[in-house]
Amino acid sequence: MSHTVLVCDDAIFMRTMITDILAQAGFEVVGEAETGTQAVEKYRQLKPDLVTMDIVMPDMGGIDAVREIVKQDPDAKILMCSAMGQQALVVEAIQAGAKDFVVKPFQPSRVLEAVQRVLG
Amino acid sequence: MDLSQYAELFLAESREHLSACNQLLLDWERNPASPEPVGGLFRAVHTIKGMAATMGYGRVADLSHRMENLLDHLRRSGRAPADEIIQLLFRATDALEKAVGLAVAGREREADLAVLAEIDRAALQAKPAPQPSGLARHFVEAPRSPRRLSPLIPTADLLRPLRLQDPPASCTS
Repeated sequence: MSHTVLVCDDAIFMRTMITDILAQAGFEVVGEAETGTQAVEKYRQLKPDLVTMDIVMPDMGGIDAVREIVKQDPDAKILMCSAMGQQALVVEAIQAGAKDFVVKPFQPSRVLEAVQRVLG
Repeated sequence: MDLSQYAELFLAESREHLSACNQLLLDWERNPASPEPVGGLFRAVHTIKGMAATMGYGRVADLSHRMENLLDHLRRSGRAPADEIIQLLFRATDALEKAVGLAVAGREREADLAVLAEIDRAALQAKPAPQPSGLARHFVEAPRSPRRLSPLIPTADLLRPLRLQDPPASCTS
C-alpha cells in the first residue's frame, strides 16, 4: 500500500508541483491545505503518513501548525518546505517537532530523498 | 522535470499575488499605521519568490527577494512607512509584474531592474537596530573621557559569580 501524504502550501503552484513529484514516485496525496489552520484540521481528519509543510502561510503559519499537529499526534511525520534564507525558522520548526526539511527551489530527487528519510 | 508545464500556473498565481500587492499598498497608503498590509505584502512577495526560484526565473526571484527583505525590515520596525516607501513599493510591484510576464515569455533578460538599488537603499535605512546580544547586556559603556577611548566595563551582575568563587592560586600568594 502506498504512503499517504497531506501537502500544505499557500501557493497552488507549489502544491501542484509537490503533488506531481510525489504521485510520480507512487505516493498518494490524500489532501491539500493552504493555511496552517486547514493543515491542522485536515491532519486530524485524514491522518496521513506524511505532511509536507510550507513555513509562510496566511492565517496560521507552518511552524504553529507543526506544534498543533504534534500536540495531536507526537509521532506525526512532517517535512518542512522552506525558502532560501529561512534557516532560523527551519531550526524553530525542527524544535517544534518537524522531522526534516527541503529548501525551495526543489529538485524532485531531493524532495524524494527527504521524504524517504522522514518515513524511515 | 519539465518546468514549462507549470509556467501558466506560475503566471496566473503571480498575477493574483501582484494584484493583491497593489490592493494592500492602496490600503497601506490610506492607513499607514495599520500593521496588516505589510504582513500580506510580505507573504505575497515571498510566495512569488519561491515560485520564481523553482521555475528558474532568477531575475524575478532576485527582485522579489529584495522586496521581501525591505518588507521584512518594515514589518519588524513596526513604524508607519513614509509615503516615499509606499511609492517605491508601488514601482517595485510594477517592475515585478513586468518581469514575471517577460520571464514566462522567455525574455527575462529584458526585465528592467533599475528599482533594485532604491529597494536596497530603503532596506538599509529601514533595518531595525540590532538587539543587544545576551552577553552585551552585562556591559555598560564607561563615561567618555576626552583622553582615552571609553572601554566597556562589566556590570555588577556579571562580576557577582566571579566574586563568589575562590581567587585563582596565583593571586593568593
